[in-house]
Amino acid sequence: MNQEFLRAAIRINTKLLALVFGLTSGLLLFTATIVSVVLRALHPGHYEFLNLLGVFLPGYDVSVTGAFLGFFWGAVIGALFGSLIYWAYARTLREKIASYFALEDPDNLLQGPQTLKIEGHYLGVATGLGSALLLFLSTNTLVIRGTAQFSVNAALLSNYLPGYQVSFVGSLIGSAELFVLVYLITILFGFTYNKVVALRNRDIPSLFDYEPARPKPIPLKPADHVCILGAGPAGLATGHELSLNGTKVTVLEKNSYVGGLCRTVHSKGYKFDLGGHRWFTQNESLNNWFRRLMEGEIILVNRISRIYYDGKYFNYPITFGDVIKNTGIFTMLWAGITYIQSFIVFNVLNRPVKNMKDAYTQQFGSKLYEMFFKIYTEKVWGLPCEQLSADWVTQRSKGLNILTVIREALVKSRNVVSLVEEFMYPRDGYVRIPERMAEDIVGAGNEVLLNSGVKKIIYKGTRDFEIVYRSQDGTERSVHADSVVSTIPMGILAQIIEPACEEKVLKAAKSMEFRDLITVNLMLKKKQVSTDTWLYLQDKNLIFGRLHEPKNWSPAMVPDEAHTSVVLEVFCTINDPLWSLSDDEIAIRCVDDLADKLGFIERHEVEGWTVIRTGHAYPVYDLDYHNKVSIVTEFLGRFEGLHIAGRGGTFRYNNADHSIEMGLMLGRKILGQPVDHMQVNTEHTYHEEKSLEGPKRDHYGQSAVG
Amino acid sequence: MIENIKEPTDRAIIHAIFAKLDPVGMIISTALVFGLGLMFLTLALVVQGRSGDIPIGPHLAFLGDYLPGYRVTWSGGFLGFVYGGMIGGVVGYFISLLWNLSHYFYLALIVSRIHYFSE
Repeated sequence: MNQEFLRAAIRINTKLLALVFGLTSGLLLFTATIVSVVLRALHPGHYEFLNLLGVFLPGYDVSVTGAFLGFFWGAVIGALFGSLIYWAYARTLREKIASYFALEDPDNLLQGPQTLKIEGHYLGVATGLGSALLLFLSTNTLVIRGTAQFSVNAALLSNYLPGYQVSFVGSLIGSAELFVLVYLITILFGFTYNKVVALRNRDIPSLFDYEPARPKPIPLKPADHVCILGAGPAGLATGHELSLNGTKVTVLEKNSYVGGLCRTVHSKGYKFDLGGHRWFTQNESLNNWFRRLMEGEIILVNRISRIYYDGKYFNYPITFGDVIKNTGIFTMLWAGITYIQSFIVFNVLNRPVKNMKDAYTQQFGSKLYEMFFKIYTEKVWGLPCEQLSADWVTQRSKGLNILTVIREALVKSRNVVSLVEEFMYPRDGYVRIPERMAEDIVGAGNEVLLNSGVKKIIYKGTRDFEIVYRSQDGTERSVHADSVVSTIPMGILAQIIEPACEEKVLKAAKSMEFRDLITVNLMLKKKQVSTDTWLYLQDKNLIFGRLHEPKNWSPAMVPDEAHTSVVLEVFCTINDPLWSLSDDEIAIRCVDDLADKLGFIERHEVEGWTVIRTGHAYPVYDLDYHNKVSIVTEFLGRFEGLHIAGRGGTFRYNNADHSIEMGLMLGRKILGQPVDHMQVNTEHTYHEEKSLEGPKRDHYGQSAVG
Repeated sequence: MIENIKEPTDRAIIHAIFAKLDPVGMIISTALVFGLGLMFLTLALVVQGRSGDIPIGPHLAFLGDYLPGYRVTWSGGFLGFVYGGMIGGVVGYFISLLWNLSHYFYLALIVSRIHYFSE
């Protein structure tokens, strides 16, 4: 697979270097011609020298038209030259990658984490060959057209290349000499470049970061009884791993259902997730675990997504062609200009990246930021991008696996089925995953207590906790455990644990904010609204930010073939104007937008709706969030035996699969395996070959011991 | 050949393929090559000297139309070094800019989907 990726990547880079050289050569010739035209007008009789190129470049002369033709010919020849150079560089690349693996020395491949090292020998061979070929062809063009004896200009090259003549033999001699000359010049070029880069020795900002190896985690003494706060995916995954390995587990859940944000609501014959979660991970061991857990319930769903922006729909994944078709070449040019502008501002003038807007603009330029990121992001968070932390951009990138996305994008060009475009899904809704885990926990003789909200956690000493909760019958009860796994919001945990925290921690804990979510399921007497699995709406005037049609995910999500439903996500904050609207008011506004602004439905097709309000949906990464998380994490770290996991628990934007993996790894950590569950959803562990220590078995197999 | 190398990781490939060109490195090295190149072209003709009535380097001398003060002489050779260096610097910067830019654009489109990926 990776060999194919390497080939695909080399092909792409060959095209990109052809583009770079083509544009450079074309623009050089264009500029030189235009300058000659202007100067010739001022000094008639001069500036005719470039006319000689007309012998080799049909139609070219020193004129305005000739300048454009010169651009064309320059671009063609430059592109061919660029392709040839990258072809040669690819040899270097392969050799370097091979030696990189042999020596495990990344410096052999690159100068610093991200800067290209130029291999003078291979580049010299390529440029030498290219130049020699050019001389050979151009000389023999003169020979073939029968003007060799009149080509006094070309013959002057013999001043530099002894033995060169405008003849076949002369061209061979000249080409050989030119090859040597260019080869030596390129060696000088490569040597100088590498020296300068080594002296500068600085990283050029990149979309992905190089990470050094991390120290191995120290194994814990296995726990006897673990109390898990919250029956969301992370908590249940921990409980599942512990239960199947014989550890006593008690799960406390304040709601009357399991799953947390991965809930699937059943209403009037319809089923819908809160937002639509898919199972997607590049971790094949985790996929195997998932397949075993959900045996007989998994279906494969094609991902067909679109982005709505400025009244137009962009297919996912976005392509150059799609963007140009929908926005026009001038928008793309403008995007290029704004990118150059941001490149200068952030990379040349070194303006610091202070917030999310800066982070996106630095990477993509202001135009692409406005087109594809700004509106949706601000809708989700309810804050201007200037007031959000830049960490979100990197976290989101890492959360997905940029390496995989790039590989998918490149290899896909050879029609390899993309994992990104297909995902696994439980036939009866995503909640079946937490439900299955809960079934196994109970099946192992442990407890999952619903309607049991935690009131207080008392730390009595090292690995000695008493957890007080309000039970289903309204009475206060308690559980004693030597370990606690908390998936409840980190800020709340800090406020209910005793001994109580100091004022500074309390202040930080109380200010850790979450964004909330209203989910509206519209039931429709209609076969299908669209083929999309998701539609992202970049429009401030629409009340919802994203929609999905559950029937497109699984036919089991609707009562019958003649009906469908649409789930709309309204991002809000508790007690804000949107949250304050009644359920019916919100649903009616959704219907209005769907019918009037998007034209997806007719009002008479709506048969009803269900509105679900969910708190603590997304941790808000405001500009000070990192400091707050550090303060609270440091405080929680004082309680030996207390572990945090999950989206709210770690105040980290985990996807469902991240949370499950984090929970499983935490389970193994509590079982005494040397793993660090907090490395999940960081690029380091999530996207590379897994480097987890532990039993030699399928990563998430039947037993974690032995 | 590619088939003979050990299976590379995604990270190694991506780091190698999407590595950036250092603009300053490119400016200096291209400037050096262009500068020395033009100086060599000039001085090689000067050293060979005039042949009969033909002036030295009549075609190269045309560059004087574009580069004020440049001639095919000893001093012109050194001035050519300066001019060649300047042009080379611009070309080197332009190439590195385009290279990095084209990669960023390519990556930007790929990465943009990440924005829509987390559910």
